[in-house]
Amino acid sequence: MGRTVAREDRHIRELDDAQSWELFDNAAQHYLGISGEEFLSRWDSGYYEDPDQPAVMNVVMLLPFARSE
Amino acid sequence: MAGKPEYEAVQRFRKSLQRTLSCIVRGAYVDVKGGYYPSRTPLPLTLKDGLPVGLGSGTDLSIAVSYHYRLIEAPSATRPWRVTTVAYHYTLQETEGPEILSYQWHPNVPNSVSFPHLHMSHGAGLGREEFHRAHLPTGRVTLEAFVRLLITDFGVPPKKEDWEEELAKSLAEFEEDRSW
Repeated sequence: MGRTVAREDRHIRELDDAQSWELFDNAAQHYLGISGEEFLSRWDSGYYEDPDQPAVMNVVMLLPFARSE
Repeated sequence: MAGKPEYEAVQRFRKSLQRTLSCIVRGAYVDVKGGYYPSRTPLPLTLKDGLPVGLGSGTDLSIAVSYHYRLIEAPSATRPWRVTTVAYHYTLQETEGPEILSYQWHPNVPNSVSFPHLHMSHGAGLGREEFHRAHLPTGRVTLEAFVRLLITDFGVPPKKEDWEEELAKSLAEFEEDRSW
């Protein structure tokens, strides 16, 4: 991604909100071919009745990068 | 923040996973978000941007690894904080092809199974269609066990000569913190 991270050592990249969103958005594009916004909209509406599919679960696992507490 | 026990607990957890992954991924780093405090929602960790990472050296294999974890207060005077895993997802796939297998535990995802399980997918070359839908029950699987499986049974070349010692070190740290 070539980004500057909020805090970094060589092995652990601590991302800020913008960087986290970028990671999530890129992953949604990679696994499902949709934007991060579109995924969140689908997720919140219950579009994924069975989320336990490879591509979907890959993105679900990254949801905390998209949403702050 | 460095030196505070909450910080040390979280960093130990992150470094342990990164150390394990570095046994098979050259230049392995993990992306993380969130601080050093107990949180209502789980905190995420993922290998290299959350995307599949090639294992190189002619293996034609890639992995993706993600975690959710929480920092919790522990009833211990010597180690008042520890980190507990609340979800994991370790996937092996062909680099330019389908998923082969995936060890998963994600009990808090709605409409999904709550027990730890294994998916065997099309890349595994199994003929029965049931395998492509099945949630094969497992115990909880450590990242160290997954990495060891790839090295010993899938021919993934270790990136460190002392990979067994590195896995043992990470596993020992995990065992100290585990609550299950």
